[in-house]
Amino acid sequence: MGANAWNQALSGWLEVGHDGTPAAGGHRVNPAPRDVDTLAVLARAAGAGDARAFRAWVEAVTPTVYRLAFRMLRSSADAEDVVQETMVRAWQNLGGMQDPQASLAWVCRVARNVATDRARSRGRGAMGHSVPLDGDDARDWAHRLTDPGADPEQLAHDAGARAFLRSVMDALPENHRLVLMMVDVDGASAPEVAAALDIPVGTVDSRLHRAREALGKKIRGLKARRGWRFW
Amino acid sequence: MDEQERMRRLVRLADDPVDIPANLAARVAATALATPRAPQAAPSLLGPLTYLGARLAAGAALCAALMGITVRAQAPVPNAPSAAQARSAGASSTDSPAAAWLHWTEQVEDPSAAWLPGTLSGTASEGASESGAR
Repeated sequence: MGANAWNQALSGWLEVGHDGTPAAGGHRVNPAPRDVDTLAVLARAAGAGDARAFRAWVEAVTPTVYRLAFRMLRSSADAEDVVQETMVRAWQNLGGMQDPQASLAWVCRVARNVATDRARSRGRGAMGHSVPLDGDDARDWAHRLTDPGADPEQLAHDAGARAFLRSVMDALPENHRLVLMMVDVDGASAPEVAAALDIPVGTVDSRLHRAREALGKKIRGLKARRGWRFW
Repeated sequence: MDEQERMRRLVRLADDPVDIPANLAARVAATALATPRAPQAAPSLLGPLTYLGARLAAGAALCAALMGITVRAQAPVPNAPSAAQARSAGASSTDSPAAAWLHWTEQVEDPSAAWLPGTLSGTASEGASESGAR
């Protein structure tokens, strides 16, 4: 891509402030240039040492990277640390990146590695924020959540129901849980999740389907148990 | 509402969307830019030259091998008999070179012997005797 394309990409980006508000005299445009071509232009220029391009590229990919790290580690402080370390590595290694078109997938791969190392160093016990699920309350929630007549919106306003649901989701396989959280909770698009997890878009859809299925099955299973312990 | 839709709505309400900290990108970018960057390896001509050299060497070896085969294949090119050889074999001086050649080869028991080094200048009988001796 030539210098014109690069200038257009960067000037389009610079028309808005870092918080997405229009700069003086500029009209509001998409604050995160997430389209592949723009990211590729920014990544290539950043790899060549352009600091402005690097800032723009970081601004574009940070929401996805932070969301991924947060969903993996479930801690905002840890997620911020992961983003910081990831971007330092990105600045040092963007120049050697083989395919600038895949820079989002590349940086998410780096972030996953950093987050995995961090989770490992913390130990498995600290990974989740699960609420212990035993006793009649949890079974009652399982009954109520599987009741076809109950309104999910109504139920989910209850803190107990939310805690129960989060705990059940924590028990899902990691790759299912991440897709479920990123799509259904964070509202990320399938291509964004695909890039973040380095999987095809079709796999995102199928994992999402299976994760919802597994969640329902798990809740029904909890309802059926008598005197069960979740763990 | 089917099970998929029900679960989608439950999950959506189970947790809050991730809230991206304000100015996170600007902060991490500034910190990253402050870190020393490893110098990128300058493009080197050594690699391409080495590759080119290896290809040239391989090409030269192939050429040498082909030339050897060609030289061997072309080695024994028969010469026409000299006028003296043809006359001694009974050819007429009016015969065409081709006729003289045929006539000579008919008289010589082993014409190929006449092509061996040292025999080209000899007579047909000499060539025949040498080939017979072998």
